[in-house]
Amino acid sequence: MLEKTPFRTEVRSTVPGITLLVLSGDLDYDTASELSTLAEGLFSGDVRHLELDLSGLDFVDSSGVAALINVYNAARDRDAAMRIVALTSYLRHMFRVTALDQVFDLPA
Amino acid sequence: MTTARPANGTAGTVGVAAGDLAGTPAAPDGRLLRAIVEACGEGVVVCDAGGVVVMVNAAAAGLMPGLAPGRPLTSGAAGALFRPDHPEGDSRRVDHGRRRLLVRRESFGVAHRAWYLRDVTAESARTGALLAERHRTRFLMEAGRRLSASLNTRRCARVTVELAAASLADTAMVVLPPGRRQAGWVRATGGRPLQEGTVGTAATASVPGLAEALAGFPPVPSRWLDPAQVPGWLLPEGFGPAGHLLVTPLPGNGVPAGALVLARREGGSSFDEEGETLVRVFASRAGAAISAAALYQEQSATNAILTADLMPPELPAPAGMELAGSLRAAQQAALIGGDFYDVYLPEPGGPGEPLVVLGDVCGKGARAAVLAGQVRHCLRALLLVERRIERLVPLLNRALRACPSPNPYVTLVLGALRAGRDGHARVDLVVAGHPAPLILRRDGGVSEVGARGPLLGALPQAPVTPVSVDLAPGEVCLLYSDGITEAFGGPGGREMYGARRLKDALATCAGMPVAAVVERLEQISTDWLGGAVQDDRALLAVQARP
Amino acid sequence: MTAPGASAAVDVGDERAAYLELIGRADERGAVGLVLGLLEDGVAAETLLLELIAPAQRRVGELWAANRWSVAREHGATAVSERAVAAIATRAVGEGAPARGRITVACTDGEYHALPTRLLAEVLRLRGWHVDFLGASVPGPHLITHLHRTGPDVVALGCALATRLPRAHATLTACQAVGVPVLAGGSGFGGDGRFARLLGADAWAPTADAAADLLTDEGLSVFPSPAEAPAHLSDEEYTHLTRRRGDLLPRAMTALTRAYPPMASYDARRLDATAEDLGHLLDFLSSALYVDDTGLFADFVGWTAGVLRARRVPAGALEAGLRVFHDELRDFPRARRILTRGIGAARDAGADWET
Repeated sequence: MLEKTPFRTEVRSTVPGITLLVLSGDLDYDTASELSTLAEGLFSGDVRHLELDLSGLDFVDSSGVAALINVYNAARDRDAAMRIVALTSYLRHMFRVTALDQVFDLPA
Repeated sequence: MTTARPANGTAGTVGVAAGDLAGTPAAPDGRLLRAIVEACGEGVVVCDAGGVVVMVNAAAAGLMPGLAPGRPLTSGAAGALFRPDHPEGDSRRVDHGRRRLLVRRESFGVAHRAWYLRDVTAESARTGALLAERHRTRFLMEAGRRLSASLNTRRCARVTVELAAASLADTAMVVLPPGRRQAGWVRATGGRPLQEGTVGTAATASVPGLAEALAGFPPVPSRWLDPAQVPGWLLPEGFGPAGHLLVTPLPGNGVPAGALVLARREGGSSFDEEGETLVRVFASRAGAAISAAALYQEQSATNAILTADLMPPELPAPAGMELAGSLRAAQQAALIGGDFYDVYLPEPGGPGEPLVVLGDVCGKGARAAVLAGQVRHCLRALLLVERRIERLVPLLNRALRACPSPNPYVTLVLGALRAGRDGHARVDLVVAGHPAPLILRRDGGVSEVGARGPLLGALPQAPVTPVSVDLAPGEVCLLYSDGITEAFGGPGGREMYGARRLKDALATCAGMPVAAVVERLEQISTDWLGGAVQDDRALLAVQARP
Repeated sequence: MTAPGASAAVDVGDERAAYLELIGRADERGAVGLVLGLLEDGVAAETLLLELIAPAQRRVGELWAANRWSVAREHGATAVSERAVAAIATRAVGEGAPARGRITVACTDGEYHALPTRLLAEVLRLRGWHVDFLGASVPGPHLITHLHRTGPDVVALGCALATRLPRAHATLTACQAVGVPVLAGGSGFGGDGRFARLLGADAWAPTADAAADLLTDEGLSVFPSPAEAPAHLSDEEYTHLTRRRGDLLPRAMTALTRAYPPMASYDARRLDATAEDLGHLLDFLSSALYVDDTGLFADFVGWTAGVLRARRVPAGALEAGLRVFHDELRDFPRARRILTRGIGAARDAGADWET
């Protein structure tokens, strides 16, 4: 049986005004709601610029993609910005397939 | 002790000889020995070779008042106790009047026999009660084991009558709660195959106590029920008249689960109080099992109706084409999930082409399956106003955005099928956030359709551009979900299957009928997973008829 | 149980070659036309299923195993036979409601060779049973849910490949636990049914008609006393081997690359195929451990040798692969004994090629 990598989140605020959220492990059906809850909390604070580091994510399923969409929508609803600053080639492929690469702000 | 004739032989010589030995303590003489025997708690009867009593101690006389020296041993009622064929040294249990005696025989020389009698009535009763209790416990344990195993009403009822006919009665019948017209029954009779049938609800009233038991009233003691009133349908053919009848309700979870009818033949033992208690305990277990099963049956019937719509449809064969599909849900009991496919045929004689769709709803299990069902219905309704696939998709996107369920995100491929010339088929495809379909050519070449578009339900706009694919006879267009390509497994157990392997596998399918293509791909995928099912998997293939 | 009168009129034996030829070309129309024509000529449906289609499919299996037919051709032929069975079933069934008991027919989880099981289902239907055919690779939970819902008298469980035996065992134990006896069938249970007996099946039959003959109206005895788990499993070699499969295979691949230098030049596809072959060997080793049967493994090795030979893989590669497992499985005395026999079988097969 496949062992799951635990999902971890880390919030950093290095540059003033920008919050960096580092995600690692499996973002899937079982863990996606953690991300949605976390993002909700960040935006109801005064976060206006959210940067996501997704380079540590091993696996993202459809629920994980849904959670990322929810973060993006929550940012827009509050006139905040979401930017993905790092990701894996697997995720880049997934964003391409779902055409989210035309919606999300991705690194070149 | 009473008088005795002069004793010769062994018993007589003991007292005389022993005293003569100088230097040893004097052995008891005959009188002392008699006194010792007399004081013995066990009954002792000594007789001579002719079977005439020579000595009876008080304990023996108390047990058998007729015994007296000088009389033959086997006179009167004692015949059954002192059998001439009783093996020497053996003990035998013999019922004597209301007593149970343990009888042992010993020989002393050729002239004398001694019989020892012990009253074991109380001891036997204790052992008997213990055995009966152990038997009851074992019966109830076996009943518990077998009754708890099944959630099927009929099987629970069968187990109930099988158990009852083996231990409680000559024939046992469970009458299930009657419906408006009839009641189902199951009957077991020792040594015969199980019987099942139905009886009119009105007829149940003709069995003494049955209507009451079915209504859940407490059981009526067996002695109040007249077995002569039993109607013919209750007993198996050739059973003969019933001597004893016991009708016990099967108490369910708040509602009666039917009734247990037991009958014993004429001349058999009646249901005593202990027996009736055992039947009641058994009936309560059987009732609980049957009613739990009935509840499960009702819920699973409802479930089956609700999920029937979520199952993949039978695939038609549109003109000039063959379709094959496979859907494997990660949820293995009900087989439903977020992957789906469907086919929409135009109305007979109406405009438009057959459409196929294969999609994947965000999430897993029943919740995803419900949304998948809604997407399929939604498409069916939208088709009434719009059949152009590139316009259908944005409409579906709007419908999903208006959907109140959380994360109503869907990825899909939608295809319109058209028969072309020379046996060719044309498939127009739009892709919305979904892996692009693969094309298998006649020569085994495999390519990916160059179409993509956004997943649906997330963004205000969902523009898609259709791509057209031409299939020569035998060529295949394969739609699949990411559960196939993103399956983790393989030799090391943690590798992603990936699009490359799927393309390679598809390439080996050139020349196969489309049903075989789909089955082979599903099989390869299942082997790759090696039993560790993680996600729903869907395949739908369109082939230009070979 | 075939209809002698009908067979006398048309001997289906004469039609076998024609049928095999048609399914070998994946000619659905031709094959279905042939069987329906025979049905109209008065040949009994059961005769067609058991004496025309079943032998043809056995022949298909042999041709594939001998590498004379490709996988694609084998799958195509089987798909056509499925259609032929369906066509016969549609024509022949439908005279009144089934009068006998209810039977669930299913393939073991992971088992995709469904046609023999399908034939049994159709024969039982023809003989008046109420049959629920659940198809290929039926997950255990689905089967048990089905048993609770429908309460059949018997489950007929098909298993064609011995590698599915552990899962077949779990399934048949679960069926018995809910009070439904299990009739085991298919070559996976051993040609003589020895694995069916070992794993506690209530009955075993080698062919569809033998299975149908076993199912009398009295049915099989319900609730047999629970079978003991086979004693040899207490050494836990099977459990540990299964658990270590994920580590063992990559290590074996690495070790094999050292032991068998040509592998260094393999491309991804060839490496996949090699890993798959090693995986099959390990799966058969697991099953051989599970049922404690050395012959099971040796037979598979002999068969693999033939397939590899057809693929022009040198004989030494198979033996090298088995040696790698033998060296890796130091703490598995029983597995090593089985592997030693396997190495012998590989060497024998290799010697055959030389001559």
